[in-house]
Amino acid sequence: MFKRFLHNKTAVITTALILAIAVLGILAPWIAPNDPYENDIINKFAAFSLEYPLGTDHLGRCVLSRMLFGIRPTLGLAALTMIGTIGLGALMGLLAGHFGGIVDEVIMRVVDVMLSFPSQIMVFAVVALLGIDVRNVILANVFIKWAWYARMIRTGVVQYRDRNFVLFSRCVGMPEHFILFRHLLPSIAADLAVLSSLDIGWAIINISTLSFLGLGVQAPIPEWGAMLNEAKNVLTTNPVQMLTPGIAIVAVVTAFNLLGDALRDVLDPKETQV
Amino acid sequence: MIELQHINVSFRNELQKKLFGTERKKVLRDISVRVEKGECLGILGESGSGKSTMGKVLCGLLKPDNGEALIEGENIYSSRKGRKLLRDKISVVFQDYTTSSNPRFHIKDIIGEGITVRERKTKKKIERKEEVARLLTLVGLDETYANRFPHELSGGQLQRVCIARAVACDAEIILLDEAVSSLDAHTQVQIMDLLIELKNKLNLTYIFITHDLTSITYFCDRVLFLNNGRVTEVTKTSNIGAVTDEYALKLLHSIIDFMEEENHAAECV
Repeated sequence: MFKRFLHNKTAVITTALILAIAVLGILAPWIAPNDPYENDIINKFAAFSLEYPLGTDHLGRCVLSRMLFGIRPTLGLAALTMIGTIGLGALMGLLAGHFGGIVDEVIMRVVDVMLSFPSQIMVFAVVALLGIDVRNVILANVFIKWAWYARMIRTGVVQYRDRNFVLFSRCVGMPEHFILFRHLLPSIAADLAVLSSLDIGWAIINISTLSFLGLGVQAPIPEWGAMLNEAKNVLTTNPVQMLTPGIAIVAVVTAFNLLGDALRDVLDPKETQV
Repeated sequence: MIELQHINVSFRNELQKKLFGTERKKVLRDISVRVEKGECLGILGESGSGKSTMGKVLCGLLKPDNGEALIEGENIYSSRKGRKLLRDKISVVFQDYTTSSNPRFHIKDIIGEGITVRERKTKKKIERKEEVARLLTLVGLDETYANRFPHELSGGQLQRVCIARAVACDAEIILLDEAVSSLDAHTQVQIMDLLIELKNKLNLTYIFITHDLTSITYFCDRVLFLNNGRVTEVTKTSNIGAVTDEYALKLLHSIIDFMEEENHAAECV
């Protein structure tokens, strides 16, 4: 599989780009040219210069430094959201698909209820109920998204649980964990990887949207969505302020989407040349 | 060795006449049969006659509504000892070789699953690489196949891999559910010859489910005719010409007529 990954240019380039961004986020305190919180009101909206490579914002803070520090909440929160979503969704989906019967019915009806709500409204409702906080943003995103994963994983499990290779394992008495973790989970892993890499883009946008609306990451913490929120106030006078966080969000989300496409090819063994 | 006593199986009708109806369709009716060690029992019937359902009951995958499925006197479904005995002694080869092997596994992992079963039974570690190579050779393939994926093999080769996996379990009984039906005539003969060779070498017991009379006569000691979920006749393959049951005779004649027409067509060509 690793060989197939290395032979897929899109997979390699997008992974390299995402890893590079993540490393920049980790190393932000050492490579950022300025303090991202330091105000310099005299220098507000400064143009690109050696001291401020991407200029300064409306409070005279270094945009590049804020961009670098902003990687942490943007990617970190998206990753946490996806881990929570996939974890809960996979558990529920596996339970429903594997055990069937009443367990399946109960879980799937809850999923139906969850899917019937408009997702954005639900996020606002959850954040409004729990209060404005980063943890609540993650909880809200997991809360509205787990049902999609539960349904998809349950469908995958049901699709594969009556395949002959699973029946063979049952017939010869292989333990349930072998069937679950060696047959069923890897069979749906490709779909899961593709969907989650596409959805991590959704999570980034969603977290940025919440920050943009003032419900997510709060000022003065640097976050790309929050930076867009601050830039929108000066959209007509200083439109350049929108460019940096805007381009960064588009680039990362596109990278994750392309990675999702590439992973679908990489994880399909039929793509191997004979 | 393995025995069914008055087995009845029914499935819920998908199209119910009443709302929340509980109508059931009977698939197997009062099936009784005994398979002795070392024999090959053929189960013959048309599509929908209940052959595969009977196979599922025999290999512990479908609990019957009533009746007893026994292995060495122990009940397969109600006794833990019976269930363990069955799992230790039975293995299965399915008709559809494409779904019989996990498409994400290498051939060595597919056969490796059978080896794991044997390791669990004997509680002894087996050298994987050598054993996979030995089993591949046993079914007429070489060890270079070990690192391939199922989709890189032909139907006949993949069915051989499934047979190798069944043999790897060190099972005494192998249930062959239409195991050669989806292969071409030449490959069918090759696989059946291989199965006969393995049976003699390893003293295996076969339960051979098929709708093809020719392969039954080529391969089995006894044949059980199944019609609409009922056993209509059980006879030795050598006495197949002397069947008395109406359905068995009808089935026999239709196959013979078909074969004669086929031969005539071949002569014309």
